[in-house]
Amino acid sequence: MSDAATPPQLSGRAAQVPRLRELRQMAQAESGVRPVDWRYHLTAMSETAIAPLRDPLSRMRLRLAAARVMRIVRRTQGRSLEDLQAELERIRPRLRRDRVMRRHSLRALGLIAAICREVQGLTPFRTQVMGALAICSGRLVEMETGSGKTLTAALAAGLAGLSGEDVHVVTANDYLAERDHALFADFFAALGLSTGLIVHHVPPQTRAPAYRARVLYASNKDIAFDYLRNRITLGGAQGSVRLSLETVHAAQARAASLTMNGLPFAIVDEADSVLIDECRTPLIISETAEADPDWAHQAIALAEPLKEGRDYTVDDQRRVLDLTPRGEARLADAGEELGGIWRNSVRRNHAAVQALSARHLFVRDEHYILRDGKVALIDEFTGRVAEDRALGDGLQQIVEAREGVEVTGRRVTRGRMTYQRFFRRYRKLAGMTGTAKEVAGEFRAVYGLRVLALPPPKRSRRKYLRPRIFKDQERKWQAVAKRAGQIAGQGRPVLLATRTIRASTELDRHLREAGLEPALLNAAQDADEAEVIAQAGQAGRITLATNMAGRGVDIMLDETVRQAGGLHVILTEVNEAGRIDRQVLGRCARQGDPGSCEIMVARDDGIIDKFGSRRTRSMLGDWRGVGKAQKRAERLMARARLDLLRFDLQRDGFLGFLGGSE
Amino acid sequence: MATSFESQSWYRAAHLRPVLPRRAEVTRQMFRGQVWYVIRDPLTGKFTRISEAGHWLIAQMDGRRTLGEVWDAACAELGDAAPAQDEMLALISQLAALDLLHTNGLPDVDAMSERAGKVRRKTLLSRFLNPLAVRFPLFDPNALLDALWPFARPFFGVIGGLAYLALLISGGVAAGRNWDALTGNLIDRVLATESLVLLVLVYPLVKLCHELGHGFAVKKWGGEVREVGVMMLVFIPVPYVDASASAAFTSKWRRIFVSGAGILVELGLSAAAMLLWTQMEDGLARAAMFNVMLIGGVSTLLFNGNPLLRFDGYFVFSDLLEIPNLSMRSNRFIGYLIQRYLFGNAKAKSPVRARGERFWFFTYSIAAFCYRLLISLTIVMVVATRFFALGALLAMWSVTLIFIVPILKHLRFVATSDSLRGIRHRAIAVVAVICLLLVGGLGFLPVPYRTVAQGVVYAPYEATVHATEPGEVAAVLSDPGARLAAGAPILTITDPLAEARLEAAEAEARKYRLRYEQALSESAYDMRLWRAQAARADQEAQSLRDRLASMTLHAPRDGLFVMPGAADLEGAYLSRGDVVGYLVDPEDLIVRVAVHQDQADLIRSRSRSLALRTADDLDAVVPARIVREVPTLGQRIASRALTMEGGGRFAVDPERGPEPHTLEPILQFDVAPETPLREAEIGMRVHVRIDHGDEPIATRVYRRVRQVFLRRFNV
Repeated sequence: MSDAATPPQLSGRAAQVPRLRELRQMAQAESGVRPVDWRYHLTAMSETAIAPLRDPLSRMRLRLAAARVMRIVRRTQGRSLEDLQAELERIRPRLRRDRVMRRHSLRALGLIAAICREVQGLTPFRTQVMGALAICSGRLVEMETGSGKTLTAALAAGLAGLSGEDVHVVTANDYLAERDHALFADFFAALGLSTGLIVHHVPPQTRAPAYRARVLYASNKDIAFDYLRNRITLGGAQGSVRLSLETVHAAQARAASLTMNGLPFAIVDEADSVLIDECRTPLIISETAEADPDWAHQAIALAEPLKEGRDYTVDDQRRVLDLTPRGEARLADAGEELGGIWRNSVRRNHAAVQALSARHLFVRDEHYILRDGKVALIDEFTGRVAEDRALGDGLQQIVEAREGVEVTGRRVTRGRMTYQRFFRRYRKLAGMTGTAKEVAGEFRAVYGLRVLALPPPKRSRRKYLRPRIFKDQERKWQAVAKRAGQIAGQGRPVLLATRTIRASTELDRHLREAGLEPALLNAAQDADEAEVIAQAGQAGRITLATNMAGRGVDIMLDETVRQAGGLHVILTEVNEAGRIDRQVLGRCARQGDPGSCEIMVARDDGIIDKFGSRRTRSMLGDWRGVGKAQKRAERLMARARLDLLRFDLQRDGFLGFLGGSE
Repeated sequence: MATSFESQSWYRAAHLRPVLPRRAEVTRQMFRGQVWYVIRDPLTGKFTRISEAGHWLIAQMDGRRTLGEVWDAACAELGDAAPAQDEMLALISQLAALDLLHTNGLPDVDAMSERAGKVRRKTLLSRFLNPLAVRFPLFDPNALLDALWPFARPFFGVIGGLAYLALLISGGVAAGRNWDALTGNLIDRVLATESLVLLVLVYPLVKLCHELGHGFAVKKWGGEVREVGVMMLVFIPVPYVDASASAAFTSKWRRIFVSGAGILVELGLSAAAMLLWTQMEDGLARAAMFNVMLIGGVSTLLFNGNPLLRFDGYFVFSDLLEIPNLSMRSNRFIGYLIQRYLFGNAKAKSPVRARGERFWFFTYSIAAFCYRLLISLTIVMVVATRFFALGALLAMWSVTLIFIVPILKHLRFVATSDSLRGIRHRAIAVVAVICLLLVGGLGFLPVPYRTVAQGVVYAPYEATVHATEPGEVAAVLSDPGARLAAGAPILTITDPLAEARLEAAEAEARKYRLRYEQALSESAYDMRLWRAQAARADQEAQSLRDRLASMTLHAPRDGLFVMPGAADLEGAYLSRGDVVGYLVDPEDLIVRVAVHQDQADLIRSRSRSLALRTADDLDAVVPARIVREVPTLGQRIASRALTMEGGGRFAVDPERGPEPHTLEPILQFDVAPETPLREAEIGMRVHVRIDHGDEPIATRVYRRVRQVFLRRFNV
């Protein structure tokens, strides 16, 4: 079966050029919709106010539509695959005109679900059908963790793809992209849709065919970087007609070297992770300049004699370091001695601040790890090594110098943009996640996404045990080790979640001292990730993971384990956002399985120590204090994200006259 | 975090080859010993000031070097003064904002057009927000001014200058000689309707001359004037010209002359009008001359020539001081002081760039604020005396503009500004404390509230001794100050005519009796007539005799005899009912106080304690209380001592008499002192202080405003 949506074949160079519509989209910046001033807050607040009134109605409409789809699925029982495909092919042209939730679309979705049943052996639940419909209408669907979001996305992608739209299914990481792509490749083939996969190890130059596929699975990072690279190729925002004409007369037309084919319809899996958490750091494409190790060493030497409090102040919460006038004076003296560039006060002070930041704010195994003699940064939210990411403004070099590894050259920025702006440029955006309620306002204000919560298909059998608070980490680790051993002894698998790599190694030590054999899953050793996850559901198995186990990971249980009570999750430290906690806890009791979870924290844990009130940090505080500390952290993060977006937009407005905006 | 030397956005600009377009005018100017360069676009008239280092950088931009190369050169060349990359970007974006940057790159046209749209919307909005000063550009007057310049040139020469000086001096002398005639009853004359109409007609003409002055002054030194238009200043069309070409003049005196030219023209006009005014007969032309003077004088003194408002005088002043952008930077300086010392923001940047600016910044912004407040208040008051509703609207407008808008802006700054990150709680606390102090001080802190009024010592009616008969006082029988019992004789009155009249009556009686005797023999009828007549005359004589006897005035009741004018009484003529004196019990003496009707409610509802001081002994304070209130507001006042003629506060209505009546209703009430007054003090002025207890200022203001409104709208 051929992809009916393929444009008519053109000859020669013209065939390589994207269509004008896609080109325009690649070349344009987002228009000034969704402001970030006071109206941002207004939108966010009104969204949270309106949603409880609006959502029940939307759910009712979806439920009625889903019931029709399910009827179609039941009636097609027993029909052959070819038969179903033939009928789908018949109504396909009408889909292009039909809106979602109309007769033909529903009929098509019913057939898609039936094909899914035939090909995958999975009959979609009504909730999943509802989710697919909601996604096709551009909503952000909140479904209980472990209720089959992946299939929902596939159904929606199928329907959208059949109606002639390119679909990007954006996942939280490479593992999920690969897994989902592999899982549904046959399904999409059966629908007659071409599929593509973009993961990190596919070289960027060879990605163009994948982007021409109807349904594309990609990790957010890769797709965003591809876009940024494309924009740099284009030379920023440009008139699309000019670019198009260029292909006619110029041999090396910029438009012809684009890998991406516009930003059509994105279905973002784990939307809160991708659209919210990832947004704290902008995407930066840089090239490496010549290494200048002297600078880093001199900066460290310069900052060495400075004392905290006297010469500079550190604000742990905001992660900001300031020089006092006295510190600046000391630096001025030192700078005179060193001479050269150190005579310039701006350069000197900046270098000293960077050196001090490296000393105080960047901790090994929490913010970065040493791997193969290199400093590799860790993403705090995913717990994974952030490939190709480096600290800016000379900080990376100073950290390298401090760690005694080879000092690399500075990265010189070539292009820069934020996730927010990238996803805002999609023609249509939808998504799904297990945890979106808390940030519904932000979704609406930044992306125009309306969150819709859907009921779980099966009643959750997750048991929440009482959270426990310990005096310090030492006691916590001992208690966690004891508890893990105890539950593993019952023939149940245990998943221990830590926030940082440092904590996971610490806990690993404690477990081994207690005579247990945990499987370790963190950024430092993520090579056999899939295998570790596959075994994590075996009886008596203890898996120790950083946040990377939190998203989309499905730990399969066998029947004996189910009988024993399912997976037990211990969260050993609260994260910066309650959503991430809920994601981790959501690893147990998935899709109707039994399971239990509990939280064990210490009073000197990172989040509590940084954001907790004095009461919470002392012996008095209770669980509510921990929640408050977390709320505070969440607020700060939200603020930082908004600032970043604002800064990005402002910078573009400010520098627009220069051209070359990403 | 310390400022970074390198910019995250540098890659956007480093490869560009910028160049300043040839049309840009660059002039060197000195401000307080520092060199600045003004870059001006003659097409748009917009200009910007850049520092010496900035000028060095711009000089390097020749369209062949890339920005990166320029920066490298700057780092090598300028040492510590080398700009950070962000500063470079700020510099070129400053130029780009003036459309004075050509590069080899392609600008983001979408973003630029969006920005232009934003600017357009903002201009529209500002027009809507400030309807009192809307500008409508009309045409390019450059050619016109060039054509007219030969006619204007003589005025800008030495002879023209001398003639102008002579005109000014003679005008000033004439004004001095006619000062009283000029200024008498000024406001009423100005606000009379016909005068207002004339004012509205004359004002644009005067302003036209004013603007021509600016225009020609620019022409004098070869500048261009590219825009002329009409500004609706408080709905009166006033012309304006764009004299921004002068900003590029190197000499500050030339800039000052251009800024001041308008004022000079107006002063010249008023001097000429003054001279004409003295020579003219009353009439429309003379009134027009008066208005020209008024505009030239008042508007120059209070508005145009005053450096505290942002008109011509301000620009003259700021050029004189060599502080460009004085108003904005002095406001920023105050902001800096608040941020630095109240909020503790160590990173706040002071706008002070040169020595001596600090002082001017500090004083200017405070003085300007106070002056603006004062001027608005005065305008509101003057307008409100004639057009109350308009005055009220203007008042609201001014309050919004002077207080509410800036307050909201500052609150927003405190709530959202990035520069307060980390110290916001302190900033909010400081603001909250200040607000609390203000609200508490004005709204809740009770401050003493008093009314001071005047009254007279007043004897009760029944204690007054009235003359029962008219006549001359023959003898005073009782000593003033003596205690008299009822019936005691006080004085005797003689009527110089009474005895003569008695004699006449007795003679008449005799006459009738004789007639009667004569008639006894002649006519029975006549006999009866004359007998009756005689009886009547006898009766009359008898009554006159009685009266002679009763000319002694007796005390009607017990009491201490007080006779205010005792020494002058003997021989004085009294009419019936005149007050001779009082027979009082000192306990009964009261003070009758008169207050304006506005205070009636206050006095009735809340008079805590009263204190009296009599006019003859101002040091002695006597506590008192209110005993009685004259029940209605009236206009009849108790004593002439309380009227303006008598040294009091109330104007007397000349059309009513003979009892004194005030023009406006008053409330009178009686106050009894705790210690009895001396009887000698009857009729004396008493100062009364009525304490209303302590009340916050805000409630008081509210009461006043409410009263004014109630009265104006007759609710």
